[in-house]
Amino acid sequence: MLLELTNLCKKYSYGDKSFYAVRDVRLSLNSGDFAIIAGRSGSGKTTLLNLIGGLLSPSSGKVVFDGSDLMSLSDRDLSALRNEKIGFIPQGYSILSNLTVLDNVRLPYFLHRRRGDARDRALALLKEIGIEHLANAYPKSLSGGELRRVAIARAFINNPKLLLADEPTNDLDTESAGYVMKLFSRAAAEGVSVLLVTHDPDIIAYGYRIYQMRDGRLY
Amino acid sequence: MAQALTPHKLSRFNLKRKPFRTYALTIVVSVLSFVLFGGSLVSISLKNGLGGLEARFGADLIVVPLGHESDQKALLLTGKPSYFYFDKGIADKLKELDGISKLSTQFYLTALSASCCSVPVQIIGIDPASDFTISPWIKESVGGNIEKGALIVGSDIELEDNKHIRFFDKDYPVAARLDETGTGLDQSVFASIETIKDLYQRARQKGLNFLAGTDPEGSISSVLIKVKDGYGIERLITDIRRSMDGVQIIKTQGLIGSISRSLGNFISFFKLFAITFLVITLLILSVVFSATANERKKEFATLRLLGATRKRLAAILLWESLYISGMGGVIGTGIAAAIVFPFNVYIADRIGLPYLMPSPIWIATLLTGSLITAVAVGPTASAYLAVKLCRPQTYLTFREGE
Repeated sequence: MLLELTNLCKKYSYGDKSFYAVRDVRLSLNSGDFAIIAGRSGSGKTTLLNLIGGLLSPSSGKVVFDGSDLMSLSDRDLSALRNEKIGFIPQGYSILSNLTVLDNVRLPYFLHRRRGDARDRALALLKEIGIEHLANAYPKSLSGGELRRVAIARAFINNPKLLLADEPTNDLDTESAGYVMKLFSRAAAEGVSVLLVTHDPDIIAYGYRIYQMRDGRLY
Repeated sequence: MAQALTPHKLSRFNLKRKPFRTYALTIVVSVLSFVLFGGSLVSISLKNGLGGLEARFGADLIVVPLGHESDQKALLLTGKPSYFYFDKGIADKLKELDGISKLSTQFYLTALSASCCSVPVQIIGIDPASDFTISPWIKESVGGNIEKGALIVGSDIELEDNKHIRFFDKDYPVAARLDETGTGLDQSVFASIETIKDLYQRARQKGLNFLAGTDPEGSISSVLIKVKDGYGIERLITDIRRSMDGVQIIKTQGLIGSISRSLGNFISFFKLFAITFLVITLLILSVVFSATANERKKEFATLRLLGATRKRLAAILLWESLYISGMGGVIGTGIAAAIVFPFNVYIADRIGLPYLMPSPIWIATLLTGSLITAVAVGPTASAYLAVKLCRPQTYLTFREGE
């Protein structure tokens, strides 16, 4: 088992009111699984991804990834785990404007100690995703779709075991969306576990396991 | 090989891509380090100048001809040359008064020496037998009194061969050069009474008549007095005023005291100004760093989800502030050094107070202190933000538009 969520809850309180963004979620993923969580905006999908990535700590429940209970890890160990084993494609534009496309893709490689410069690997990923010609461009000259592709290439730089993607086909045309989804399918076929959240019904068909999320609960 | 994206490299990229903000903050820190280094260097030079003045002033009172008090003060403080005379009998009359422990006379000339100076220098004739102000200092430097016919030069007098100085077409041997004091004495030449009379005669032969027909043997420029212990300076001043007319009396304690007060005010003002400027710089940098924190929330969140530790985020921020304050510190101290060192004579002249630059070790200490303070400003200003970044779950959520 690569990922196991047990009774996972995330509760927020504002004054005397409180609500659950994520409620009693249970989920297991093995290597090579391709799971898609569909749901409306505000249903708790992004919060769930942040809990799985160790970016948020749960109010209760457990996240066990690759044998480690995330909440028992120090910031350093948790950051290292996220860097080495999880590829994260966040919602919106997450490309650093001060770095070139190539450096944005190489960036995760340098966030923990490694040898080499990852240049060839980054260029190969850019080529695979069809934007190798933009390697030396700065993000401000890229379209929304191109920025999304950069984020996807970046997620693969450290050969992750788990790929977390939050609305990865936003800003992409149908053809590009299809291309990206095929890329995820291929990654899953190569043993990477893929967990994708979306509200786009057109891409649900790519997943092997489909879930619905409503009011913080997973169905 | 492409360069590694270490925290300090990321910081440099961030600074390069925000040139206006980077340069503006660098200028603010530059001004701070300029004020710290330049201001403290000038303050200490003035303090040293005052120290030099106190150390070389053995006299309690200086009696000069009426109307020449300011000339005498300018001569002592800034080396502005002048000459004035009164009857030697004044000194004899003064000797008759009670309350005088030591008394000595001086004779002044001014001369343009092509061999050393483009402006006239002050020549001070002293009587080694009675002098108690300059002679001990000369003895300290030369190991004896001034030889007949020889001259002693102040530290600022430059000589061609270091052995002779030419006045009125005659080369005079230079017996020694005195240590720097930061006072007008540095721009003066000292001679025994016999030698200065020779200088006077040569000047006359050249058509320069300092005394306009008066007998030089019977003239002096000033009388220096040391008051007897327990007599009281004010009492002696009253005695002198009662016994003679046509003289002015300068209290050296008052002269030093007024300089000391002006200097004290200047240093207090400088300290207040430097502290205020330090606080303002810290505030400006803190406000700018905090203001950019919101715009950079997404950048930090991205780094976090890519696996950056909180410490690494703080390191990026601290490196940025360190680069800014480091550049500012070096530029500011560099400009201060480029102004203060070459123009220190001009600065001293403009301030009109004794001015003596500190030793190289002191300068190095001031430079290091100013640099450290300026360099520390950036990280100090960004420390709060860095600590905030290190708090759990500060930048953990990542939503578009958040």
